[in-house]
Amino acid sequence: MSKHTFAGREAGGYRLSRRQFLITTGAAIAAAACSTQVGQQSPSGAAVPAGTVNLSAWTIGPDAPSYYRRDNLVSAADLLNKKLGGQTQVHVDATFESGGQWGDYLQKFTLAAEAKTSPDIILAGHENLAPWVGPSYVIPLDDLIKKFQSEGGLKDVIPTLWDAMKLKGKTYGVPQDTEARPMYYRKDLLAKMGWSKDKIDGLPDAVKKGDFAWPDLVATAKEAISKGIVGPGMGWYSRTSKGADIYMFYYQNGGVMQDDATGKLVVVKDALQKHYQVHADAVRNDKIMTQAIYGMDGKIFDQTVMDGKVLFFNAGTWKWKDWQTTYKIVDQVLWDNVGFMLIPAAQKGGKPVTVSHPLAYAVTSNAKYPELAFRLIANATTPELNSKHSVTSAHLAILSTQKDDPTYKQDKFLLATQYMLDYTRFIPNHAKFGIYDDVLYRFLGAVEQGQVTPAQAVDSAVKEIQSQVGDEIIVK
Amino acid sequence: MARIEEIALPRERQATAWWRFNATALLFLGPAMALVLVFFIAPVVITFVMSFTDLATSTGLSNWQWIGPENYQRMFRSQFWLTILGNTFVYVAVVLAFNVIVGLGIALLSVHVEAKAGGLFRSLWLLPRISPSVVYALMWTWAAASPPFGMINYVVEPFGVEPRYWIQSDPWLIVILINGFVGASFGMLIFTSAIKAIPEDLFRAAQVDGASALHVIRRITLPLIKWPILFVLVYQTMSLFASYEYIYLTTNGGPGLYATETWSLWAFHTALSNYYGNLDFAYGAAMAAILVLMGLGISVVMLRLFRFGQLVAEPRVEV
Amino acid sequence: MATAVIARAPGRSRWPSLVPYAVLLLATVPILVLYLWLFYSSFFPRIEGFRPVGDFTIDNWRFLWDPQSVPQLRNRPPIIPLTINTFVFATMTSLISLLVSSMAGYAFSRLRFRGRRVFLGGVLLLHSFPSVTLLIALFVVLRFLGLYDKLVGVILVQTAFALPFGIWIMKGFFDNIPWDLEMSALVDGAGRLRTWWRIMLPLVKPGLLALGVLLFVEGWNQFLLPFVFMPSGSQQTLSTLVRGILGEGRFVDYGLLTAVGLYYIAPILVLFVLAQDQLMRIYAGGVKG
Repeated sequence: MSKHTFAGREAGGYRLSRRQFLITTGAAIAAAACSTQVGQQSPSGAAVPAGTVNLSAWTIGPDAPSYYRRDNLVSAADLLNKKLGGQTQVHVDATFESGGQWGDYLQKFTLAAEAKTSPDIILAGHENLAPWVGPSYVIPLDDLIKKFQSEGGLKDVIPTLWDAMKLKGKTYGVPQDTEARPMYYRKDLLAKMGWSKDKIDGLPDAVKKGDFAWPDLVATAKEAISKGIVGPGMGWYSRTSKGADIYMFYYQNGGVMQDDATGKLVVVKDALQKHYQVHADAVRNDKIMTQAIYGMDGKIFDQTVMDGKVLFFNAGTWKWKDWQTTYKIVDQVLWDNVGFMLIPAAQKGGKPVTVSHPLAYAVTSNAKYPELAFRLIANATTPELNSKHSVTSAHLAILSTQKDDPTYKQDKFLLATQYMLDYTRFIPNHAKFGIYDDVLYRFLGAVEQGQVTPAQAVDSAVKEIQSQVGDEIIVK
Repeated sequence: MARIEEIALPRERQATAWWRFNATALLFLGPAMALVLVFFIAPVVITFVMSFTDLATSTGLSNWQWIGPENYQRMFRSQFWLTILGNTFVYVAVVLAFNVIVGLGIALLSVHVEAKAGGLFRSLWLLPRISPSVVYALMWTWAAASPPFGMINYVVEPFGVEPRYWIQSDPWLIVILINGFVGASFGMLIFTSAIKAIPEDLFRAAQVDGASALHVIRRITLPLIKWPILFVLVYQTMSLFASYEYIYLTTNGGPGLYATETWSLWAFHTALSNYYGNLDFAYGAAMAAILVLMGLGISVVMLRLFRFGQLVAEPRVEV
Repeated sequence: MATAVIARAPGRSRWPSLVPYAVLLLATVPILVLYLWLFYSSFFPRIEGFRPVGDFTIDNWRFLWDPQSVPQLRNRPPIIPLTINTFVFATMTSLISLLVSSMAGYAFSRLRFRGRRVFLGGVLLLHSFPSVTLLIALFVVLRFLGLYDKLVGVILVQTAFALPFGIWIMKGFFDNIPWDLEMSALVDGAGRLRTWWRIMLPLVKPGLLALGVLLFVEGWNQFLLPFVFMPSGSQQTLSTLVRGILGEGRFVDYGLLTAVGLYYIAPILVLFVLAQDQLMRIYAGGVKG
C-alpha cells in the first residue's frame, strides 16, 4: 500500500476557490497540526543539571489499596537526591489520574502526549506501551538500564518481567508490579461436599501436578449443584468483564497470542474453539456458571462470592486485599474459607496456567531530563519500597530480593502465591491487540449467550480479526 | 403580516439597503458563524480528511499518512456493519416514538390536572435529564441487575415473571427505557410550553360549546402544537443518531455480538474507547463521516417531508 | 393562564378527574422508584434490591466534612472548588450561548439577507453532526488554537454545541415580538444593534431565562468536554469527580457515589423548582409558526 505524507502534498493539493473555502480551512488546520511533529527524545540539556528539577508522574488511581504506585516515586526522590549529592535536587510531582479507569487514563495520556503536556513518567500496563512506541510517546530505556544497572534494585528484577517490557527487542518500561490470577475455591463448601481437610488443602498441589484437571473441576462443580450445596449456575464464576484473565482458558488449551519471530498476533483456531467450548459448556451444557456472568456488576460478583455462594471463582491476587478492606472480611476468616490455585490443566497430566499483567513505569518523550526520570524510577524499584506496595495491595514481587524483605516475608498470602509466576503467561505487546481482543471478547459473550456455537464463533471471529487487522494476524 | 423591508425601508433605497442589511446581518451573525466554522465545520472537514489516513494511537495524531478509502473498505468488510446499521435505525425509531408519545402524553396530562400537581409531575420527569449521566445510568444498571439483586426483579416477581439479568436478557428493553425516560422530558418541555402559549379564548370557546377534554385536545391543542411536534421529531431524530452515552453506560453495545451497538457507539468505541488503549482515530473518523452523512440525509428528508420550508420562510412579523 | 382554563374544562364531568392523575402517577412510578433508591442508598452501607443492609448512616456523606478519609478522593481537589469550577463553567457557557444565539436568532427573525434560508436550515442540520465522534477532530482544532487544556477552549466548544438549539428557540421568541415596538425605535434613529440591545432583549426576557436555565443545566452536567479537553486536576468539574469515583468497577463505593451524585443534582433541582414557570415558556415563540 503506497502511502503519502499528508503534510507534504497539502499546499499544492487544493486550489483556493470560494467554494472550497471551508474545505481548505479545515485542511489548513489539519496541515498545521501535522507540522507539529512529535519530536524525538528531547536532546536538551545536560543529563544532570544543577539546581532543582521538577519531575512529573502519572499513576492510575487512586484505586486504593494500590497507592504506593505513586507514593513510591515520591519516596524514591529522597533516595535519588542523596545520590545526587546536593548539586541537583529532584522534586517529584506525582498524581493519581482517572480514578482507576484504564480506558480514560490511556486516552488522557494519549491526548496529553500529543499536546506535549504529558508527564515525565507514566505508569501503564506492559501492553499499553506497545502502541506508544510508534509515535514515540515513550522512549527506549536499554541504554539507561545498562548505564544505571546498579541503581535501585534494577539488577534483581525477575527476568521474565523484563520480557514483558519489550517490543521488537527494545525495552520500554521498568516493571512496577505483577500479580497472578488464581482460581479461588471455597473450602467450606468443599468440606460440605465431604472433602477431607487434607484433600482440600492439597488441591493447589494437585492442580500444580496436573492431577486435578479442568474436567475434575467441572465435575466437582456439577456435583455441588446437584447436591444443593451451591445454587444453579454457581459452580464457577469467571471474570465478568474484559480483561487478561479471559485468555487463561485460551492458554490452557494450547493457545498462542504472539509470534516470537515476527511479533505478529497469533490465533490458534483449535485452542480458541476449546476456549469457547469451556465457556459454552459451563453456561449452556453443564450449567455450572450462570448466564448472567457476562457483564455482571463487579460489586454483585464480589458480594456473591464473599457470601460463600460460589464454589470456584476467578479473580486477581489483589482481590485478596480488596475483599478484606472493602468487605471487611477478616484475614483469618478468608484463610479458613477460601483457597487459591492455578487454573487447572485442560487434561490430566497437563500444565496449569495463570496470566499476569505487569505494570510498568515508562519515561515519556516529553521528559526534559530522561536520565533523571529513569533514575527516579530505578530508585523506586527497591525491595523496601516495592514490598510496601506488594503487601498493601496483594501484588506479587518483581524483584528476586523481595522474598528476603522483612515486610514481604511476613505476608503469607504473597509467599503462597509467588509460585504461580512460574506458570504465568502474558498478553501480547502489539499495537493492534485491543482490536483482536475486542472481537474475541464479543464472540465469547455470543457463545455464552447461545447466539453462536463455539465452532461458528471461531470461524467468524478469525474472519473478523483478519478483516480488521489485515496481515498483522497469523492464523494457525 | 408584512415583510420587514416593506415596512422598514422605502423601495427607492432598496439597493443600498440590501448591502446595509447584509452588513448588519454579518454583525449579528458573526459570532455564531465564527463558532460554527471553528467548532462544527472545521471538525467535520478534518474528520472527513482524517478518514482517509491511518491515524491511530500507534501512529500518533501528527503523522498523517494517506491510505485512500481503506478505512471505508475495512468498515464494510466487518461482518457486523449491517447489524449495527439495523440497530441504529431500530434504536432511533423506537426511542423517538417513546420520546414523542410519552412526552406529549405527559404534557397533555400535566396541563389537565391542577397546576401544582402538574408542575410536580413535570419536575419529576425532568429529573433524568438533570441528573449526571453516570448516576442516572447507575440507577438503571442496579434496577436491572442480576438476581437476587435488581429492583425490577423484585417488582415483576409477584406477577410470575422469572427473575433475570435484564441488561443481558432484554438489552433492548433497558436501552429503550433508559433513553426514553431521559428523552421524553425534552418533548414534554416544548409541548407544555407550546400548550400554555395557546390563547385562552380558544379553550373558552370550546368550553362554551360543551366540548369534552378529548375533543379539545384533538380539535384545538394538537393542531395548534403541530410545529413544536415536528420540531421535536426532527430535533430528537438528530440527537438520537448522534447519541450513545446511555447505551455505553448500560449494555455497552452487547451482550455478545453487537446486539445493541449503534453506529455512533461503534465510532466511539473505535476512536475513543478501547480497553487496551488501541484507539483507531482514522477508522473511527470514517465511521463518524458515515454518521454525518446519514444524519444529514435523514434531516433533509425530514425537513422536506414536514415542509420545514415554511419555518425558514422569509422574516415576517406577527401583528 | 391556559392551564387553569384547561383544568376547569367542562370535560371534567365526562373525564373523571382522577384518571389523568392515575395515568401520570403510574407512568412516573419508575422515576420515583429510581430516585427514592438513589436517595436512601446514600444513607446505608449497601442495598440489596429494595432492602438496605446495615444501619442508617451518614458515613457516605462524609466527603463534605472529612474528604481526606475517603480513599477515592485522595489527591483530588476538594469538593468546594470543584463545585465552583462547575458553576463557573455552566454560567460562562450559558451566558455566552445566550448572547451569541440571541444575536443570531434576532438576525434570522428580523433581517433579510442573502443565504438566510440556507443558513437557517443549516443551523438545524448542524445538530445532526455527531459532536461526540468529532472529538478527535476537535482536539486537533483546539491544539492548533492553543486552547487544549484551557477553560476557555472548553467553554467555546460547549457554546458552539448549544447554538443550533439556542438560535432556533431565540428566533421563535423574536418572531413573536410585535414589529411596531421595534420600528418606533428604528424610526427614532437608533441603530440595529442598539435597538436589539435596548428594546428587543428586554422583550424576550422570558425566552432568555428559559433558555438560560436549560443551557446552565447542560453546562452543569457536561462531562465529556471538560473531561477530554480540560484534563488538568485544578480545572476539573463535578462530573469528572463522579466519573472518577465510579472507578473501574472493582473498588466502587456505591454509597459514596450516590451521595456525591445527590450533592451534584441538588443545585440543579433547586434551580428547576424555582424556574419551572420560566422553563415552561421555552417554546412560546414557535407556536404560531
